[in-house]
Amino acid sequence: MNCQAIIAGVGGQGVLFAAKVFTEVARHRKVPVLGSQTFGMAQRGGSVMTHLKLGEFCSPLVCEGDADLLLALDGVEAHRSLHYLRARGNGRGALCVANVADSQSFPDRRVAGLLTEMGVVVHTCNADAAALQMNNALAANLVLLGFGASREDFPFSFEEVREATAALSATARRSTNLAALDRGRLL
Amino acid sequence: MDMKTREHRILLGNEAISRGLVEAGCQFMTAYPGTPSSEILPAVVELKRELGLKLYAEWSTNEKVALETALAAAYSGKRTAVAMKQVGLNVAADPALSAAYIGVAGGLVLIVADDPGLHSSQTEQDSRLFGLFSKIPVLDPASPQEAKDMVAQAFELSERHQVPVMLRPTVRICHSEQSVECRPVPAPSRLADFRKNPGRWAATPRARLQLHQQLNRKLAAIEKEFETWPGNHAFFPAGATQQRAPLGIVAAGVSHAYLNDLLPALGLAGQLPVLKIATAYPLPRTLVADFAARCERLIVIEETDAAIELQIRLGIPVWGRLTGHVPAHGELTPGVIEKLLVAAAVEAGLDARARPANRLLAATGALDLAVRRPTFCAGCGHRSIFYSLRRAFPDAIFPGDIGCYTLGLNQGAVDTVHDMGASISMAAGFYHAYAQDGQSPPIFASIGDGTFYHSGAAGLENAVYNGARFVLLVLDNGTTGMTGMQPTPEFGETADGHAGGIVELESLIRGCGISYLEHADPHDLAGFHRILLDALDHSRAPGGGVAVVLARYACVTQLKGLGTRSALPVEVHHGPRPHTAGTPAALDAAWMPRHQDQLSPCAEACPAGNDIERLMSLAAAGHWSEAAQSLYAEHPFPSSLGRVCPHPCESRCNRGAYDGALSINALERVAGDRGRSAAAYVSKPPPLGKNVAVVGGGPSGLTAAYHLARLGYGVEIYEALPEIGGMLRWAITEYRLPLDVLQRELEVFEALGVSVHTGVRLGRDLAWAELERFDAVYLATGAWRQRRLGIPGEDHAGVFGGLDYLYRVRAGQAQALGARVAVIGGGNTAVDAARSARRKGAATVDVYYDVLLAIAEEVTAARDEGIVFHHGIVPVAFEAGATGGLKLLLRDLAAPQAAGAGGDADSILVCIGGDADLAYLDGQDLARNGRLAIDSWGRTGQPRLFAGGDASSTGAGTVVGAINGGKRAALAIHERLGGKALDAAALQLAGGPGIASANADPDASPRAGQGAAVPGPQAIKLQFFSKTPRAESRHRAPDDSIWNFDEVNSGLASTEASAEAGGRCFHCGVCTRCDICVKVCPSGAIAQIDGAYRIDQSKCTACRVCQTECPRGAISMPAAGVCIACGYCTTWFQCPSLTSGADGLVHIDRRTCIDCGMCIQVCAQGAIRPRPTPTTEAFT
Repeated sequence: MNCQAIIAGVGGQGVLFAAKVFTEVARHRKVPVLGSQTFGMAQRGGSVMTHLKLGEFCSPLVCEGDADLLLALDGVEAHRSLHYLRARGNGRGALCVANVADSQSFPDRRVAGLLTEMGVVVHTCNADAAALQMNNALAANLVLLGFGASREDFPFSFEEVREATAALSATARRSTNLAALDRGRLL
Repeated sequence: MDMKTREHRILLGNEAISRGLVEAGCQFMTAYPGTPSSEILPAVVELKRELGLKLYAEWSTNEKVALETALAAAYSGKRTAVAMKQVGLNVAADPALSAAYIGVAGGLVLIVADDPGLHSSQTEQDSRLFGLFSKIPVLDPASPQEAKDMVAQAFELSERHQVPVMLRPTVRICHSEQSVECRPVPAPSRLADFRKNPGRWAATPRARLQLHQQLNRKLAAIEKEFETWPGNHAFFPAGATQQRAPLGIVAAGVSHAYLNDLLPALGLAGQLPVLKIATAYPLPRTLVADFAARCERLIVIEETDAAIELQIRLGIPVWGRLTGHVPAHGELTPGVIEKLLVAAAVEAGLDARARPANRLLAATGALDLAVRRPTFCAGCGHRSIFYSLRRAFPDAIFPGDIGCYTLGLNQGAVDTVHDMGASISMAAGFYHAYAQDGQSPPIFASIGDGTFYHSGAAGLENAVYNGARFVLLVLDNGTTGMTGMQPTPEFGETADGHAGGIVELESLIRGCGISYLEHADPHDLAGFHRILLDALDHSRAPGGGVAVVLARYACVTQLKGLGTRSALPVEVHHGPRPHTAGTPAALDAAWMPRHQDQLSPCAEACPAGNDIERLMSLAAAGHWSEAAQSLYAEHPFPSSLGRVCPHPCESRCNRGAYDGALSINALERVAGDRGRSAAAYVSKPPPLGKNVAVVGGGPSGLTAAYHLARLGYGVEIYEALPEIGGMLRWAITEYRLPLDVLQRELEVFEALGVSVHTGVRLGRDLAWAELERFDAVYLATGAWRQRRLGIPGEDHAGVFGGLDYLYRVRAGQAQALGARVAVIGGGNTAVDAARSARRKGAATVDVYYDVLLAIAEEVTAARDEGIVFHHGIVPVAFEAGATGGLKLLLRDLAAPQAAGAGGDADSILVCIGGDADLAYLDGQDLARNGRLAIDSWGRTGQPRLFAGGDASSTGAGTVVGAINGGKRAALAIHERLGGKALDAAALQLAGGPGIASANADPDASPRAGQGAAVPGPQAIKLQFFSKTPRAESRHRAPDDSIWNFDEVNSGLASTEASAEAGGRCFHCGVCTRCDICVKVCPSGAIAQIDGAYRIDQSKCTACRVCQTECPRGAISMPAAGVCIACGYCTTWFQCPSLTSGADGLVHIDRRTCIDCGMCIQVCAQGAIRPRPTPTTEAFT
């Protein structure tokens, strides 16, 4: 498989952990992985973006207009990263999975038409609210991941994501992390 | 890639390098953290743990020592690695250059991570150029896998040629993940074996020349090796002929990887010759020349600068950064490379077409998305520090430093960021630059603990040595936060977790010559502010210097990692706001700030009505004449009161509990003494044609006469004693109130045309009928009739009345008392009598009393003069003594049943107060219980008769009490004779708050009459005031003072008094034009216009910060207690957990809030408060 993905969010939202789940799934599938992450000052609340390229690639950054998937933990960051998504070629369109407080606000009406024209499939949910309800505000990333992984055309199956999450979680957090994924699946 | 058979791990580039290090048998590693290199050493430590390797790993305190430490290990034959970021290499430049000449024995790999695009760095410097400059060979990996492979190759190269080798990954290698092939890790086995060779390891300049020559030979050999280096390879299009290709690409590092993915997308796959260069220096020139021979021109694509391009010297065009074909700055992202490649191909005549423009990029670009700047974490102590700095010192210069706290920029409290440690040296530089011009702006430098250990001490010792003056804040969160929580020397935990030595931060700072080092908690905003002011004072004081404030708090991100959070749940209260309908942005006027002077507690407490606050302002400026004049508005006795008053003002001083009340009494004295006599300030007003008789020329009668005369009444004073002055003249001792001081104050009565009849006693020398001609009569005849104890033996010869004795002393008729004197009583008269007796020769004076009511300072002075006080001991009888003299039979009130002790004395002075002698009333019904019955305005039952002072039912007790009575009676008489009604007259005549409060209903609040509040201690922002000891008056030494009646208390010098008023008075509730409100107002709504503050209501956001920051409570504004959407917290405190919606109302983002509670202190409207006791549901 070849899949190029962008995971976008704000420093501290758990973008790195979500990316780790992707690479763990790839490792399990024995698919080569290349990717690039944000470290350092930007981690302090700035915009954070991880590039992931699964399959036969040489370089770590996704070219603008080439991404198959955008997983966004924040509405503003989702808009900021939309231009990485590719237009539908012969096959299926690219996928955008975003955590937004208000589904009416995303995508912005000024870009919605273009996304439709490009065949981008958009799925939104309020992962923050769901995570807060679980008294685990920091697990919004996993709620979103669970939500995304149970959509059609997501590059991995929900089970693969769940297994990878279990493998990566510290023992103390495993059950709450998996509960967050399961919660996302139900959204 | 065959992923099925070999072990692959998904590793970050930095982790791949670490894997390469241990696979290559690296035994020794040093590093200093810095993005993007920080993860290398921790990954080595992790592998050491995982595999049980014998490997030394350290976080060094800076890059220079890291390299030097590593060099010694390499000298000893070990395979050694050093890691740092590119700017760290600047710090390590000195050892690096020598290392190239001298070389190594064991392999040394210098890993330097570059940051094209400046994701987290200060410069885009290309460390490969440092390789050229220092003559250190450089490897430039194109992927994490290659970076790992290069480590082993670098060690071999280093050992083969005995030179250090640089591995230079860029950020996209360091922070990229890749499935990396892993090999077995050998157990390192080399033993340290340093072979002495001074000619090499300690080479002198002459020998260095030879080493340079040797190095050049090594580089030539290395270049030859690089010609066939596995990472260098040339690709030519299939079926290429001997005809030259129009364009050849030379690519290095991650740029080469991008090319591989890009060329197919551009339709150029397999079309162009590509030469990948992994050995940036020395460049394999033959390889390049052979490649170039098959191209018409070359384009060099490399990061970060033109290291390869510079080394290519051929006869064909070479395009790159130097020719403008490649951008000269910024990261070469795939998008940038795509653009430059298409442009170059087209220029070379090739058919290349850029992909269609990204329409989504244009569309989202138009959305005007908010830029998310990095910001301090929610709950970070740094935020509170910069918030405090900016708020308290908006005009200061703020040299900053490198670390998380660079983000103090966002809050306007970081002005410069240069390089590690520069905050301190630059603060010194700013100081000297301004000092040269005689200026001293406040300078606050900030540096973190990690950075201070790295390079702060050098700057600090230089600053101290050269006499710089500034405040240095050391932000000690106990870790290297920005780069990922690396330990510091503060706790002694080393890179691999074993216990190292502890370098105490305080000792290090003090060791730099710092004498001022204070700890401060930034989570206490007021306390922190206080310390900042104190430190600034120190930096400017004579003998001061650099003041260091050490703020210590945990890194919240590290705390989160440890699973601990604070637990003060905060919430923002929302509810109906006091907004005017229709103007939602502005609050109702009643909820807006107002500058309104309040009544100082000292002034409120003064019975004489002194405007003490005004006295302080005038005294501070040294305007003593005006100060005296302001006091004369209330009474004519500042010099006297300044000596004898029990000063109730000082008891109410808000400074009392802080560091001692102001010396208000002493200041009044200076004002009276330094100003001219009241006579100089008064003029006779036009006569009103009405006359008033004042019977009794003591302080009460004199004050009434003073005010009545100033109002235009004809006043005549009838005084029974030979001179006017009453107690001031005849009872209070001369060593407390010298006669000339009093006489100077009495001059005013002649100036006012007041007739004084002395030696005239009502009822004896003056008949009531003679008072008929007056329109009003004020009776202030005092209480001079000696009160009796009513015990046996009181009529013995040798038992005297205290008042009578004091009078005789003042009149020069004092009787001899003998060597042993006993005084009965605990009031001021008793102490005056005792001290007078001492001066008249008594060897022992014993004071027996029930309750001590005298002024404390007087009692202390008396004790110093050898007078003994017997508390709770009262006489029950006096008897004639066996050997002459008297015997006192005493009772201890604490043990009333016990047999009384005895006391001997030659004389006994009974000082238990006096009664009014009202014999002159001659049957008139004016008295109740032996006093003239009056209301609070001195009115008797008869319309023409007024009374006050000690003779009256309200009593006076003290001189200041008598003055109060005299003022009240003057006002009442004025009203009676057709003057202003009492309230208005009170204000017009006195203008002093004392009168105003006297005017009030005694049961009403003290502020009634003026509508002003009296600010208590809680209204004063103590952080603005440093603790300063109270100025104490000087006294003559007791063994000198007891021989005469010269004045004991010599008061304060006028300069001391000015300093006391200027430096210590809080000016409670009274605006001093300090401009703090102007500075703290976030919307610039307050301005000083013509000496008064104007608040521009159209700009005011009603944040209420001016009210909470006014040091003295001179701004009134009620707190709304609910969020009013003023935006202050989100704009100035900038906590990411405080978010505001479209309506501007602030909410707490529970995803990130750690309930640190700082916003509670920040919100001046009181809208953010701790949640009441948490319910159990909150935890389920």
